[in-house]
Amino acid sequence: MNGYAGKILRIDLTSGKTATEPLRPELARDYLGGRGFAAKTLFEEVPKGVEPFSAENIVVIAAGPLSGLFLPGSGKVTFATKSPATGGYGDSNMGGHFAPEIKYAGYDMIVIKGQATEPVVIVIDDDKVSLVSAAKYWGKGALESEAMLKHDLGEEFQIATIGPAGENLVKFACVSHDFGRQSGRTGVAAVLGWKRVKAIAVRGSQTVPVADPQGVLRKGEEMYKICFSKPGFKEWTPEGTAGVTDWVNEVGAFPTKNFETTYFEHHGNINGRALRERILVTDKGCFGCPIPCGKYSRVSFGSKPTHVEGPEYETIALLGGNCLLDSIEKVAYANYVCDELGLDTISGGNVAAFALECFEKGILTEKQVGRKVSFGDLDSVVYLLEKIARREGVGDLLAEGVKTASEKLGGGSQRFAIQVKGLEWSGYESRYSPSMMLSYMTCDVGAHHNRSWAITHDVAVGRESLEGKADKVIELQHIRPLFDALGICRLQWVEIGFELNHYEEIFPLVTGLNYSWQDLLQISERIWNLTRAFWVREVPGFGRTMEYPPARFMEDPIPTGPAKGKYLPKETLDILLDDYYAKRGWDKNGIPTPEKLKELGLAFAICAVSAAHQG
Amino acid sequence: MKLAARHERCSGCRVCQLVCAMHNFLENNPGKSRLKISGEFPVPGRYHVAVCDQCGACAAVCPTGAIVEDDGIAQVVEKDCIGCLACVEACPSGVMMVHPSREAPFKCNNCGKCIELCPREALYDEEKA
Amino acid sequence: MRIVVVLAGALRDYVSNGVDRMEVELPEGATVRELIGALGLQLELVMAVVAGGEKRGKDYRLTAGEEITLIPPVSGG
Repeated sequence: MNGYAGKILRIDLTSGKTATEPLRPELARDYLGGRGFAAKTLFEEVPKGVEPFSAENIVVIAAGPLSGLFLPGSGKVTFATKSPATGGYGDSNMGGHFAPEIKYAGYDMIVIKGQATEPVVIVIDDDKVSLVSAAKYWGKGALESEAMLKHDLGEEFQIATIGPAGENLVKFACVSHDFGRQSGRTGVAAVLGWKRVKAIAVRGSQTVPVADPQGVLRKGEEMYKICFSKPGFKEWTPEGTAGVTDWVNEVGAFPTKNFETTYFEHHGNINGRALRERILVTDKGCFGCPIPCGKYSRVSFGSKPTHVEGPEYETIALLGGNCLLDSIEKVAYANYVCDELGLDTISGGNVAAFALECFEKGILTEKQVGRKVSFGDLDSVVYLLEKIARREGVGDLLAEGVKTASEKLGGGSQRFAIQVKGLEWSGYESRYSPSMMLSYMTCDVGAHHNRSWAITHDVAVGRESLEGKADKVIELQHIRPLFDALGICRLQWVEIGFELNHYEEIFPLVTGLNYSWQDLLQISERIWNLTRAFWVREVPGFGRTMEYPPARFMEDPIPTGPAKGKYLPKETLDILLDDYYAKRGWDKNGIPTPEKLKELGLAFAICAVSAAHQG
Repeated sequence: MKLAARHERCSGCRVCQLVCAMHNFLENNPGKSRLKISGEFPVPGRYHVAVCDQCGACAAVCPTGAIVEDDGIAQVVEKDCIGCLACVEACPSGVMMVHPSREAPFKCNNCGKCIELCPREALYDEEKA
Repeated sequence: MRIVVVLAGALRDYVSNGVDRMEVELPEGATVRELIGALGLQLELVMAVVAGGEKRGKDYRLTAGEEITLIPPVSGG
């Protein structure tokens, strides 16, 4: 099949057996790849109601039909599982070089189930797949393990590892790859840790077939050259995503002090310019990328210099603003600590900030925490992150994430546990951005920005108005995740204005399938509805009540900065949700209707949601 | 033309390898490209690009004369190659390439596509610089 | 005076003519802030300004014939 490697690799850790099967053409036709494959495979193969930490839960690693090909940004892979953080659908997209290598090894998707008796490294060398003892790597840092594995297996292997946080089942542990690329969200690494998979190493030598090689060569070249000609090609790259830091402060959306406020007066000291001028070592790109956003940096705290890829914007927001770390050097160091421990910096920054606020308010005591901790203090943040990754003392509770931790701690802490559906909020505070707020509320993994980044839309059309906001969110929720199904990066489009029609043009040259952009968007809508059905099936009582942000966002006006006084009361959010559900063809509780599922070719999912309709 | 690299400009994206294999073999497979990128991470954090400068060391050691230089560009004449891999040993830059699907080694033919497509000007023509 | 304006990323979606490169007539001594207003863009839609290869602020004073690149906010990944 053109565009695809053609095989699925299955690994059963319990029996130690591996097997391959041909990729079913209808799976490719209806779900494309990447997150589409993940959604369909999880829905089909994870038995209803299983524990995320169980042999029956699976981890899906899926490339897309455009991954590994000669076109801009073709290095993206999806990791997915029934999330231990949320209990619902969980996926997290990762750059680097992992997706291409999986395809060169002959696979489009890897499905891992069961549990190994001893820690293992899954080594995939073209057709040869083996489970190797991970005894010497277990307990080591995520970056350190990757360096050891590169040394032991060979530099050309592409490696994904977990750190101590994943081994210790921290609910926001991340998968790490290429010394700084992460599949960070929804706790996939914790499931790998439970399964005792320390790392996955892949090397491939094979060619990915395409329908029209001459056409792909011509169009691929054209796509790169158009990227080179874009205004922004030269200007955007030097700072990468960190370049947005000042702007997010300017519009009053920067997570600051556990989202108490939305403007950080020291933002100029943790922005892209500070990164570039003070700590940058080299630009570091993902596979096939003309605009490398990866910034490889070096900082010194203590005896030896520390190297880290980043900080990128999300890390600056959540470890910087949200923990009040006021220099790029401090943020980079905390970034390094997270990366080596294998902690998602977004959730990590949230949880640390939550703990700091609890401490400030006396909800957590010095005795519980083991020392005094405070906002703005790097040592405090690092101390908490290490406790969490090792599940020591208070870290054991915090390792569950802010939702569970706040439910157990009480004392009013739930109102500032900043999450939706159990997933901590990423870098855009949204009390003055209705479409961004709706994006977070309805995102299909929890409070994550990447499905719909709509804050510029609010700024462009008016931040007070609600009109048309649901439409924009839905539009973006179909376009942006489509990239995750195709296995490519969306930043060429988002950041430098590379036009969407080029993807429509190269898709048939690669696959031989004459899909229009609208056809592709419909597949994206299918995937969106299927992940929704997964939530409904797996989470009892799922519906509208699970989409609200914490009370802080619905009741407390922003105290300072450009968005001072703004908040979005629950009644306003209900207007947005009503509009959103209606436009999506869902019922008033946010459950997809049988008609909508049927229309999208998801009739098989109707019985999974029917109980929710009756209830 | 003389292909050369500015290592410090490289971001490790491998577009050069992609276009090389596509242009010369019409295959999506960086494993079939004629140049190499290696990263030194986590320390010190830099990339190295190995390219062919057409030095001719490969042709000099070939026992069957299967590597022929034409206008300063050395190329492998596959039918004359006995697969001894002496050229691979001899290449000072490590860019006399082999691949499991090909019997004979292969090397850079100075087509210049990598220079054209490198997003970072990390690859360049030394004679024009 | 005439200024050449280059709109990066999605900014062209927010100007009436939908193109990413144009000439704009402005009074002598106008600033980037006034240029953004003349284009009918929300001031906050412009994240960064580049002139002569350097990043500038919105109060940067323009000179005749200068080429200015306006960059919209980007998403953090």
